[in-house]
Amino acid sequence: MKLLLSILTIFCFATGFSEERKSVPHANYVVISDEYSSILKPGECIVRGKIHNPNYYSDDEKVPAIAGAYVGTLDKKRFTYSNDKGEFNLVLKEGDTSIYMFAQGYDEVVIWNYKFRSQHVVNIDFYAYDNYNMMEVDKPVIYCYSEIELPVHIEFVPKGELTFTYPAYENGWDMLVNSHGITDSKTNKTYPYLFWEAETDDLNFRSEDGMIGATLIRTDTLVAYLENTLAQIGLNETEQTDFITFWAPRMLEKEFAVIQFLTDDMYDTNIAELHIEPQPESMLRLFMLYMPLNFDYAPFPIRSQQFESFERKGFTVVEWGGSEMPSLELNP
Amino acid sequence: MKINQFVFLICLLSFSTVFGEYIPYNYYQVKKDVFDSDVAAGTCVMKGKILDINENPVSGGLVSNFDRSRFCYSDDKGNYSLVLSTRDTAVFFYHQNYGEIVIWKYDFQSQHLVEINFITMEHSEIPTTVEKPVIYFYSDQERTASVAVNHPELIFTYPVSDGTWNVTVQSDGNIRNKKDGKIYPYIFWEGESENISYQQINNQTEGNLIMSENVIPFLESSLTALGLNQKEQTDFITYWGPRMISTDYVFVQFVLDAKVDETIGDLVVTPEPESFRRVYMLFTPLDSPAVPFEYNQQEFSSFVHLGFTVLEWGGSELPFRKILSDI
Repeated sequence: MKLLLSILTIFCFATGFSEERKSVPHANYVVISDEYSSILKPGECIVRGKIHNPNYYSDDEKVPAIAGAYVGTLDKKRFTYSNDKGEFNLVLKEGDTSIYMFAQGYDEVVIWNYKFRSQHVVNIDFYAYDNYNMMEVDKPVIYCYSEIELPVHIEFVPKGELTFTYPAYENGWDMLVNSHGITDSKTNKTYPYLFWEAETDDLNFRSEDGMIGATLIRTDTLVAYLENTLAQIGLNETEQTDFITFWAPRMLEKEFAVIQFLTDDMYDTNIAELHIEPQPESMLRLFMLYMPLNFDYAPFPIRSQQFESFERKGFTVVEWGGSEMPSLELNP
Repeated sequence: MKINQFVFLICLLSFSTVFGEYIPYNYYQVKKDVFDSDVAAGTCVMKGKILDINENPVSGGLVSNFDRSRFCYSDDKGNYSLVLSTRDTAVFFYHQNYGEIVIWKYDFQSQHLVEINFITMEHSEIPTTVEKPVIYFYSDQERTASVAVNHPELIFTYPVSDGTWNVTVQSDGNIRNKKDGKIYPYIFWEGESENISYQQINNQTEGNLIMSENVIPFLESSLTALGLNQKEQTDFITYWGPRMISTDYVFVQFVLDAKVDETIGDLVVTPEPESFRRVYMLFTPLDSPAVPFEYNQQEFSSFVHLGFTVLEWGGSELPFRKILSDI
């Protein structure tokens, strides 16, 4: 009882403290117990516990526990995922010292230095707070192509808040598309593409059946990877160059990156709806989510992505954009 | 009991690392602010110490008001003393090897003695990224050209290269890269340099202070005057515009042509272009319209596309300390 009380006191103190200081990450864990168990094999240590969501309120649609969270060693040799009740059971080896918990949309929790001892069962609860990082939806550019001159009206509905448009966007863009580019009929200025940028706190890698369609790459192969993938998806040379020169320099900051492309319908539902009058005969929308990493594995289960090919026909619209997702820092 | 201690230790451990990350590194402490009849009316004496985070004195640190009419340097013991006017509201500390500290708004009252300590962290100069120079080529008739960027140190190029490209300039404004036979709209390079700062001519700094809502019209008219066409302007504005409106104000200086060769890096094109323009923008986002040095409005010479034309634009965001060091 005394033990429990002191743990509670410390935990309350710790979280209370972090409430006060805004910049302190809202993330924590509590070691409930650490006991010898003769049932375990020598050299083995079991960590079990629950991943709580402290942002849960009973009238909220959120659940009190977090399912599908990764719990494992930093080198990912030993890991597990939490079940529907947020519970996990992780088998470690004697000598392991650091583990972390990661769930998309929550702050990660890292336990840096803990002596996981042979034949011990350690009960650890994680408290993973919602991650409210604002993410930039960067540089979506919209190209319009038409051999015959065509007046078009373009409107889009972004998921976040608009931060920049060029040319100025006022209840849509009214433009004249011809073989020279996109002309604003009011000012007679011609633009190579239309540009917008937004901010959102609600953007995550898209998963299907618990798997995330994405690719892990070493960034020294990034340019070749982007060239191949963008060509396969159907961007032309100018679009590819614009894309690569915008994204590649910032993606090279870390040694690895995990990359997911959202196309067409997924773009509509996750990033922005795009309404164009008249309806384009062919349209390609491509959005890249990436997370820079300084280690060579994705912090969630991934599988490769397949892309349909794209054929340009008549009035054609191509849009690309992207977002850098907050990176997982695992350097002590 | 044993476990109890252990848990306590773990909690403390996790906590102290969390705490450790968020200590502010460069900050000031107002020790006292009192009436002093020895201080002349209309003035305020500000004094104190400049210390590093281990509480060692920092000597040779500049403490100045914003228009730099009153300033002093700290002595061997880190002590400084400065007589301010009651009209002064902002003061800064600057040292080449330490983090800068700005006191943006302080009411320096008449006949007051104010003791303020600056606590600063030693740091090394972070190289400035020479961002996104893109090079466009135009020619009425197809022609071959070789292009070389000799300086600064390149961190990214596209098409991928060691800094030299052999290209065929097409009449449609695109280039064909000899190495891979592919078509590109422009050549892109990015580099890193440690010596980029605002340029002075005859001890005068030229530039413009722009409110964020005027950034786009300012860029459109400046870039038009500088000779960028509509496509180049769009590429420029969509790259830099979003970053220049992150604060209420931005200080902007354009560096052109020979000055770019001198201060940013060499670009050699053979055969020599008939018209050649290099436009390089330096800018610093500011929260306040106070620019701590005198500057003249910058005017631009015009540029005409004629025959074989090469146009390059790029830029660098300079940290606020680059403005402070420009004394």
